[in-house]
Amino acid sequence: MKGKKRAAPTVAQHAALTGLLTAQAIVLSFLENLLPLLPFLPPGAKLGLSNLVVLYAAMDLSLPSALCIAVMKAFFVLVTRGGAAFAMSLCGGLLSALAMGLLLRMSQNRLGLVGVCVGGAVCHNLGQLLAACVLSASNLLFYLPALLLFGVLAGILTGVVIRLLLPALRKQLAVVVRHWEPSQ
Amino acid sequence: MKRLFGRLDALLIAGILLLAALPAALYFAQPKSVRANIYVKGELYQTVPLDIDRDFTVTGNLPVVIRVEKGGIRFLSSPCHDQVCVRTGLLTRGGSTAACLPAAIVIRLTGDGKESDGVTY
Amino acid sequence: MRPYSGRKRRTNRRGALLLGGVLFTVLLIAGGAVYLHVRVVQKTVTSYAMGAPVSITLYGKDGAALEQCGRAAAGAVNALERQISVRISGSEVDRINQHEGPASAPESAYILKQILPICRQTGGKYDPTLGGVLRLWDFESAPKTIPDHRQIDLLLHDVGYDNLEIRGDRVELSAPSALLDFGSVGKGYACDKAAEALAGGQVSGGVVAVGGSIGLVGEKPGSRLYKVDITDPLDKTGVFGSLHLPGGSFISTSGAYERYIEFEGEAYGHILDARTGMPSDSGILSCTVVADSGLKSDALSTACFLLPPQEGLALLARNGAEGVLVDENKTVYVTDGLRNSFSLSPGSGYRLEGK
Repeated sequence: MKGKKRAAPTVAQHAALTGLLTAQAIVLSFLENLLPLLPFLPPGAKLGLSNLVVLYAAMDLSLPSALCIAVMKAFFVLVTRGGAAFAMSLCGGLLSALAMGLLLRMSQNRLGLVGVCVGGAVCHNLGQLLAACVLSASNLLFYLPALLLFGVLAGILTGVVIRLLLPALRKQLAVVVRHWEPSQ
Repeated sequence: MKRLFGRLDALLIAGILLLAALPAALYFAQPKSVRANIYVKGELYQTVPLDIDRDFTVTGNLPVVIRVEKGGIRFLSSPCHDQVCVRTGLLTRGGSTAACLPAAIVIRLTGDGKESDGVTY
Repeated sequence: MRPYSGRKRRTNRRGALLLGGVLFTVLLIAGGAVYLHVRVVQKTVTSYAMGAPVSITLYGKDGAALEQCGRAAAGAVNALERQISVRISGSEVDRINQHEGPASAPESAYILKQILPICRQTGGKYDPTLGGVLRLWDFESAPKTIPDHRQIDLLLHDVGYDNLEIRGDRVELSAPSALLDFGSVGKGYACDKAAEALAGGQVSGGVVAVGGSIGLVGEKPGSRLYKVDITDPLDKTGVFGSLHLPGGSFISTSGAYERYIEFEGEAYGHILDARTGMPSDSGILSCTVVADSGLKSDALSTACFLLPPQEGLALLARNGAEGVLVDENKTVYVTDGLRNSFSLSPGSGYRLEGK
């Protein structure tokens, strides 16, 4: 048969993949936290490798799936690091997922992976800063420049890493969803 | 597969860095501060002059130890898990902030060091 | 690979430009709106009253409104002066001092009700009916001599706040040679009047200074606390320390260095002990009081000045006020509430009590 036969994931497949990706996101975030902390990093500055998974979900699955992963990641943080960290992870994660989803949709082919990742990382940091401001009832805008800078750096790193991992991630997805073809 | 890096990506990064540069420039334009405000749970708890070196404890949700030295102030130690507050280091310039979120304690340096609002005689 | 589609690309480009333009405009407008909303304007209004410069610095969003508020506050200060000045003919105090029976004097009645308890707490050292003795000394003209102590003793007979009768808004001073004088509280009370005139939303923060009495209002933009310097009593051009205080604080200072007579090698300060009619000998150089009203801070600063340090500190505590006292040994006493707000200037030569 000529022409593409693109199979979209069914709901069940969607759910299964989301779950799988969530687990991978949590593992990544856990590994990230084990890394030795540099003395001058402001609060919330992370490598953001787990963002990578959220971005992938936004790319090849759907935005709701990406948001799900962000939320579940936050709940994991709630259990391991407490309420304050939970609020920050939730804010940052949701904002980041939304931003990446938006950037992917709006920019079509003109924005590369790095750009989307940078946007996601920066929004993640912004979300966390906002949550921190509300939690401590004070103006923490002072941290903004450093967070933006680290967001850019983290985004570049994440972008490169996801580019490398994309084939593997897609293979993983293809195992679950037959005849799956990428749209980008 | 989607492209890794293009013109728009560079533009986005440049834009964000520019956005980051503005408040950073403002920060360096600030003179060194003469006192720090310590807020516990959002309320001003104490105002500390930075001319006398000392250590003292402030208790919010958790007790933290704060040190004043070299005309600046910093979190010396805290029982919090992340130690972000301690890692922020020494604050010397007006507007600088350090926070320990689990303890709900924020240190913020006041705007200017020299100008007074009035002289009483 | 996606097949090339030329028309789609062109439309996409135009769409992107349009989107970019709209976004840019929106951001510009939003940025401008945020800027105007967040920007704080500062305006200073100056005037003269009660023999001293008046300076009112205000912070808010609308410059014209601030100017108006400032003028209103300055007007309130002048209005008060017309009512309670001992020098202005027809003022409440002037009419009371005519000794022609009870005079209608609402402001004076209010002031007296507030300060008489303090007068009693000083055991009569602080007394607003000392006006006659003050006139004798005539510090304002900077004379070269001091009054004869017999003249002082004569006048002292009539001095005493017990000679005042206050009924509602009417005040009567029955002792014939006693004169009511609110010089020790006028400027502080003026700060209260000015602060009242500033209430009403246009002013987000401000500093009212009537002579050396200061009233703090609202919040200073960017720092929440105001910085008030305290003049060095041994060097009027310098400052020996400063206080960081929030809006709602009123500060007054009493010190002999402000006005004094030099006679035969001695300095006689203008703050008199009402029991002796002579300058205070409590050993205090300067007394700065922080309270929740200007009237209270001014009255207490004078009262405190007349008492030795420990009694002065006790007086402040009794009245719910805070302060910084300096004695002639250059020792600085700071009440507990100000311990974290007061900062001694390095190299000032003063020593904090207890250090």
